Amino acid sequence: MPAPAPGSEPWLEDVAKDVGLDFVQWSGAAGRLDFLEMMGGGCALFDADGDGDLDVYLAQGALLRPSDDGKTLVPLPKGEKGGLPMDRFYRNESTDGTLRFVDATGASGLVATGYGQGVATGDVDGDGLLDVFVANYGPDQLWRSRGDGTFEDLTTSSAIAGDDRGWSAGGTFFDAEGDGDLDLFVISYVEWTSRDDRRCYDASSRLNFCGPEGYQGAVNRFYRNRGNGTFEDATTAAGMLLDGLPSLGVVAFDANEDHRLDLYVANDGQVNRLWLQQPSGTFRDEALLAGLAVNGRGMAEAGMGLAAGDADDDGDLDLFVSHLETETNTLYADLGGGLFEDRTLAYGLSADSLAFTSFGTVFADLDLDGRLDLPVVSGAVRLPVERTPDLVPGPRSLGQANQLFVHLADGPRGPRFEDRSELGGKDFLRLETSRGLALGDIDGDGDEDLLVTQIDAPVRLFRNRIGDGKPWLGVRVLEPAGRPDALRDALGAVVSLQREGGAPRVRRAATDGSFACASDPRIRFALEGFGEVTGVSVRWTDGREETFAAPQPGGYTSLVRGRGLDEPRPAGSVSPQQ
Amino acid sequence: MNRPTSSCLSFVCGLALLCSLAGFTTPSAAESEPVAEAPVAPEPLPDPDLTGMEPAVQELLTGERQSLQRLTERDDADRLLLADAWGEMGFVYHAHGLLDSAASCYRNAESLAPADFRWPHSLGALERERSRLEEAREALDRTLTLVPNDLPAILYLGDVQLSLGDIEAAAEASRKALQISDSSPAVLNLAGRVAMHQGRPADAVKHFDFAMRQVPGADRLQYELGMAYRALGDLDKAREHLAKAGKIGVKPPDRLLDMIDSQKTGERLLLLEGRRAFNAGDYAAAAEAFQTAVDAEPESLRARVNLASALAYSGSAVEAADELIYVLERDPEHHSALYNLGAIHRSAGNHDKAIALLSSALKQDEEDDGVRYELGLAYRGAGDLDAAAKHLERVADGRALDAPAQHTYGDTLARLGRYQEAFEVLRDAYQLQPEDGLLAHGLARLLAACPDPSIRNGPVAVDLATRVVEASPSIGHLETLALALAESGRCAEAAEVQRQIVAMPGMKPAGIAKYSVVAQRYAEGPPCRPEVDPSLAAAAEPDTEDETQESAEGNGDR
Repeated sequence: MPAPAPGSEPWLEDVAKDVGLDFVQWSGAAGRLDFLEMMGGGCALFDADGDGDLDVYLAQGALLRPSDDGKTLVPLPKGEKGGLPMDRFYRNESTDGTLRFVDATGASGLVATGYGQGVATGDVDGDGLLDVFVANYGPDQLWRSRGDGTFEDLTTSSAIAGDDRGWSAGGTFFDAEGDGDLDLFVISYVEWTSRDDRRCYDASSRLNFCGPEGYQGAVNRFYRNRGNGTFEDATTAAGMLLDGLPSLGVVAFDANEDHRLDLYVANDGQVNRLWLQQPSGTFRDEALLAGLAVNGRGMAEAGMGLAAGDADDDGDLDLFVSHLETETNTLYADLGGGLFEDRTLAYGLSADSLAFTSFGTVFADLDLDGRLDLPVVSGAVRLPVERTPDLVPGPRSLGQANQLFVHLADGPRGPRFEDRSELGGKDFLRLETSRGLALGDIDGDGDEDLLVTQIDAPVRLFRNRIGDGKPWLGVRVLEPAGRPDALRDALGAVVSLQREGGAPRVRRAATDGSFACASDPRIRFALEGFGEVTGVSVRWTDGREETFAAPQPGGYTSLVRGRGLDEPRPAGSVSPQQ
Repeated sequence: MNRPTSSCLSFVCGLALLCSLAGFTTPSAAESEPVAEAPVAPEPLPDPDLTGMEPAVQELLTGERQSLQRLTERDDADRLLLADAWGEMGFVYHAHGLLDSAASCYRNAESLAPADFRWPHSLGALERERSRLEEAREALDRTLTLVPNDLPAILYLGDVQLSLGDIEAAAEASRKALQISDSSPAVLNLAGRVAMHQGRPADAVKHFDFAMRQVPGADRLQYELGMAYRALGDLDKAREHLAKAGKIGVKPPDRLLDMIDSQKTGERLLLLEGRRAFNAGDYAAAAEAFQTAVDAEPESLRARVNLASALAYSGSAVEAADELIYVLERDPEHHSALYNLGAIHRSAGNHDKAIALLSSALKQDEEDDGVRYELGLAYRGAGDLDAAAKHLERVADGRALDAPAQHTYGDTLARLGRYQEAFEVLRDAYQLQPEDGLLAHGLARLLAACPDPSIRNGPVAVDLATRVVEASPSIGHLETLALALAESGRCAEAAEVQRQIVAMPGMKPAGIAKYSVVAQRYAEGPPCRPEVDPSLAAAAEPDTEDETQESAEGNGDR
């Protein structure tokens, strides 16, 4: 990592404590080095109350106790009465430019019961509000936002709870069949029973945390939305009931330009899966031929978090997967036609990630220069083999610095990223056990802020300083939801900012990706050096495209399906004259 | 393998032999010059925390360190001997994952004996292992200055250069390696990788393909070969190779690193190493590691059970059984040993012995589906289909996604004449896993030739069997397709398929006669519907216990 350039100011500043985010994740570590202790918990940045700013959901761990039949470990009930920490919901109550969060958990009706892992957001009932799915070790939970900062528990009625003893890691909401409602794909990690409650040792023969090797991966679940906010388990009908693999990351996007959303799932130490949606609505895993199952050398890596974005500015979506130390984080460039190629080396992302075990990651144009950068948060999963006598075996001793890969101007062989982690600032570089990372414009100033969760440590809210004052414009892409006049975020839509005489800039509207966290679905475009914006087009998830007039800079504009300059049309057709 | 705790002298002899074998020139004692003063290593003797390690590991590390400390305190220590001692300490730390300590020892060894390639070589390998690429490159460069033809070092360096993005330097390493050995799989692998990075997929195909031919078991090469074909636009060839891709790669032959591995001690470590190999499907390597664990701790029953598993998977069932008998002699209730020995007997057709062992194991844990499944198979093999069905039903009920369990249960029901139940089991299982060939074939067979005509459904059977044959045109699958066609009244096509079986290479005369008769009967149709023959309804076993003529002729039903 290069030393900070003289005079260069940190891009990020942790303001969590100052603005009222006082959450501390609690692993429940009891000295046994249980596998679950070192996985951490997730988060969400979403506008829960419809007031236009981002609120925060943070998943909490729990103490584990043996189950009644002694076959596994189950989380002790969480909640205020028992005095144990629980998931938290913070409302954004900023006024006059002063960022401020208030713990609104008590009044919200949110009562999380499991050992919190991942969080996903999406509008499941078509009322225009983002609802919250919490993936747990234990039954999963679904909360419907009422729009006033309170939530209704839909877990039972929606039938998405899954296995009582399942270990879900996260999920994504996406409209699989283009029927206007959001379906849910839940990723699960491993089967963990008493027989698997093994002890693991490192190369020195010392007790250490286990990895997923030797555990049976858990089966992921596909829940089809019936259109009324309830779901049916369609895993089998969709052809997705294969042997379970330890999944930790997922994004829904159209991988092969057939105008159907597909799913890419990052697996820990096993081949990744690319579920290509077929015309019949079923899915088929084509990761191997697509070049997305393993890295360029044919090796399955420890897939943790992942990001989808146009890394090389060629108009399509590339994929970036974070991995274990001694493995690179891997960038798969979209070659078109559903084929991808490991270009980690060519893009300069190879060597500098080898010393880190990375989890949450997003594509984010942090410095608003028009190029997507890659913040990556890290923390080991195994205690160091060579250790000092004062090391306390537990998640806190897994600390690593986070990383920031800055996208430089393209070289002759394409884009180049450079490890400029020092630009993240001192708090970004602390040796902590970071896991979740969510992206969003927390203060409404048009640049990308980052929310980072850690194990047994306070959450960090990195407010962006480098983007302050730079020109930008934001869009929120909306499409008709199930209820009359209701609009919901078009998750998976791809937005292109058009300009005169240059290639458009392409971004994806999504809450999924990263690790265990849900991000702000709004999109921000940097305008510096972009030239005159001539318009913006949206490719909706069914592949139809629609053009809109150039949005006003310096704020967010809603792009509503059917209200553009032309009717949505099949992709590739000729645009009408404007 | 019992290792002395202090073995500097014997180790030096060992290395001398090693270097001689490798064709390298090692500085000998004759090169050593009289020392004017005691040689001093630049870095202090590491003292890593050993808390929590296995006693055997602690004992080894402590003993080796004490030996080295004594040597460093001697005023008359020979510089090269001292360098060897530092190097050996490095090996021991390296083998046990104490990489900072190991690196420090290697650096000291190199400082004391700068002409000895082994220390920068080992340091370079270590730094590469922990992905400190610049440090690795520097150490490997120093190695190659001393021994320009150190092939493992060249390959490590090429790999490091690739990881650093220096394609030209990697290409230079690849060229140099090819000059030394143009048929080494590890060399060819590097050459192929470099070619891919340079946009020369046709050359990459040549290299990967040649490497693949040298070591067919290194199935990770299939992936690289497949991707090279993909880059050439040949998606069919790409699919063909990608479908065969696995986890086993190639690594440079490096006797120094092998020696470092041999320093590992402690049952846990050796078992860990064995399990890693086992999980990767490298059963020979797993057996070797487990054998070392047994040698290190002969009374470790866990090590012996693991060794038995690896031996069984390697095809050495008798040796595996010997290990398990040893375990059961000392612990008659050892669950895994009962299970594994039961499974071996079941595979060998010793059904009564298998039933006794597996029943004992099941009594200990009624929830163990693995044991219950094996017991069901053993009862099946012994001809007690009712008992088999009872156990298999319970396994199948709890494991909806276990295709062999579902298939075996359905097949057992068919053998019992419980055709409707058999149909329902196979149908439900197939619907859950429509891509599974075993289930598709089992269902096709039942639908084509079930003695209960109300179960039969020729067109569906043809559809299923056709897909199975497309995936794997074995005798059993072709026979099922012929039966399905016959059931559908497509007699001429059935006869044609049956004739394909007769014409298959290696078919024995008895098989030719058997299948020819059926082909003739189909040809004489219609009607040519399969006769009501219970033996036709059941597909071949999903295991090897009950091989029919098909497998005797070289074609199983898997």
